[in-house]
Amino acid sequence: MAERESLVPVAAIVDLLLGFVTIALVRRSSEKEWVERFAGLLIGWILILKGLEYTSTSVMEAITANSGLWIVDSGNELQNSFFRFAQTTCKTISILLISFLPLVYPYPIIQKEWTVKAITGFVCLFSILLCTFTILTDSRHLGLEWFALLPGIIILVCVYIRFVIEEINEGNSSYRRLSLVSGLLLIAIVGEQMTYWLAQVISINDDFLARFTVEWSLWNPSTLSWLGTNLILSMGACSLLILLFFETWRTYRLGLSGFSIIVYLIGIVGFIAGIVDFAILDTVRSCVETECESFPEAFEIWYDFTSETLIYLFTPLIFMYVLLNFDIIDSKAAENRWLTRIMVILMLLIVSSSVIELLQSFLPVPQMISSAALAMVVAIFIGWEERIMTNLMREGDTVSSKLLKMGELVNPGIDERDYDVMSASMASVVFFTLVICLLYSAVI
Amino acid sequence: MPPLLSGNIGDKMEEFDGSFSSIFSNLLGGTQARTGIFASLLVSIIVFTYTSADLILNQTDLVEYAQTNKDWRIFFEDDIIDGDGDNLTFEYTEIWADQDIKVIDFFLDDIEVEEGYKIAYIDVKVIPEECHGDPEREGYCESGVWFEDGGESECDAVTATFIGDNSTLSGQWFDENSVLTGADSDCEPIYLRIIIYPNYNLDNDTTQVAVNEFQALSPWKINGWGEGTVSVQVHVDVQSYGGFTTGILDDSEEIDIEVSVHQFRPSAILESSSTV
Repeated sequence: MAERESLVPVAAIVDLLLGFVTIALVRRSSEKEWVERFAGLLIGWILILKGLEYTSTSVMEAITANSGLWIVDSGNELQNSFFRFAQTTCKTISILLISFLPLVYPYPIIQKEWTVKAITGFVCLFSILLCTFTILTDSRHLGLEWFALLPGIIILVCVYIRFVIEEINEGNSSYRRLSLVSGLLLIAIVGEQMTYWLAQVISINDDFLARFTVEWSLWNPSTLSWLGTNLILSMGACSLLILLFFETWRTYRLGLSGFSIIVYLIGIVGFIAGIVDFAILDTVRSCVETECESFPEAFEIWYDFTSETLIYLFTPLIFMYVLLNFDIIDSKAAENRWLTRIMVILMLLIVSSSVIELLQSFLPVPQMISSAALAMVVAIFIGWEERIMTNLMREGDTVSSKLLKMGELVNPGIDERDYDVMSASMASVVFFTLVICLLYSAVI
Repeated sequence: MPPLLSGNIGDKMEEFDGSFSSIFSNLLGGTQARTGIFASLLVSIIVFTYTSADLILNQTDLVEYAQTNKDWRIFFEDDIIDGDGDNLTFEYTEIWADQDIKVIDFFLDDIEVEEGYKIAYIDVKVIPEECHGDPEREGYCESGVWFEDGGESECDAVTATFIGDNSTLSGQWFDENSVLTGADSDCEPIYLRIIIYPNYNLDNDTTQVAVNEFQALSPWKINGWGEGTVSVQVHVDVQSYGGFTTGILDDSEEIDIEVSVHQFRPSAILESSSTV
């Protein structure tokens, strides 16, 4: 049996790759509506920042030789390291970008000429302010930035509920496009927290927070930080309950869909996780009450395969699906086709091979068998390449064309240069904040 | 008003001006959607409120206690890294000629420290031939002279020294418990010791003030100590004087060097929960 490997380096590669390709493809999709173009840029930068965050985490894992739990850092080597600051900085900026995404996509709340300028300005300003604040306060208030997600999550939930109800009432399947993309974005944003829904509803996640506060030497949260973490856990749990309720209603009225199955799967995972969490509460509380006992191996494996796989492997895949299926990038244009195909096959292969490696880490599967399994996956992807691409590509209206048909979208006349300014500003802010991290880690 | 995009524009489109009021009005949908949205928001607020109350009211005191320093007794489970059951990690035997100075290297990369263990200290025993080096020989030592049935001989003068610094062997070269050099001319073994792990206590226990077990043990789980080469320099001054009675002429000395690398595994027990 091999040693359990961290998924973080794989996630770093996948996110960086997808992020850069997305931005390149969005730049080539100039005939798309402003909603798709801006959303594509935001998603591209979210993925790049996630990739940079995971890269820093991977380096810290390598330094502490601790796959998965660098935050424990018994040697205190990372206390004031550049990589720790860079990791929190990239995470903060990506959360800020995620919090602005629902204001634009799928249902644009701000439809003004200055939308791109304003959002770019806000993200840049708050990135610098929040990152500096986080570094100077020794990350004590890390978690506070989750509050920024609240409006975005509420908007996504509103869009989901409105359009799923309209679909059920009017029997018009074109409304499904909007509820589907809202639901997918909710899973991409708070998918991890959705897998803790039962633990949150029965309020035992606070025991885990207490344990981690005691156990993790690099996490010393303030009350505000705790509240921020509890807020995102609550948003995840409630989002999933909302999705479960309305998908069940929709299934009852219109029949089962692929998205409903995904929601039910996450619901089942969260239900089992809640029971398991409850069963090991004594171990969880041991850190606070007596001495820290380690979690059972089976518990660790369960989380490797559920929450961690969802965060590190499936979240970029969900973003990729949204980009392609909702035609955010012009994947059918001749000059984009090959790049899109390479990206899709590469992403699927990386994720498949990682899952096989993960399986091999706890199942006594010989290397030969896992190599054969990987070869089969490669053969399937090559053989069904056309079918996979067709399924991934747009099936119906884009979000903007649906909104146009409904008369709920205007063309505010956004300046073409705003998109380039946005990318240039984001690159500058990331560079600038990383320089701040470097300088601070050098002088402290 | 900004121009509208091309497309199937219905009556509603003409009314839509992209203002926040019309956007939010559309976003919330009809009565049924509004009911669903407000019910969902209410449920979310309830969940956030009672979980936050639970977190702040019930966990704050516990965590405050957990973050308060306590006294921990740290125990060290100590044994010798030994591949063949002879309680030695390395063993070396060679014959020194008179006035020979040799440096013998023992490479710590060649040994395997068990999972969860760290190297605590290294003992080196340099054994001269007469007294202990050769178990076949029966005799006794008195005032620096070796007596046996075949005659008597004066003990050789042997000096042993650890050579190096932290660049060659990472350890506590200036620890008061480290014995870096030794000499003997009474046919007795020379004992050297170098403490490897910082503040390692040879009494096999110590106390530590920390907020929890994990942090109490953290200082005893640092990597990087005990890496490199144990270099022992041995100098032999052979005494060839054959004694007053039947003398044994001696022009060389067989020296045994035994190296014991001690590893330890720390464990902690809460001694008192009193705050510091």
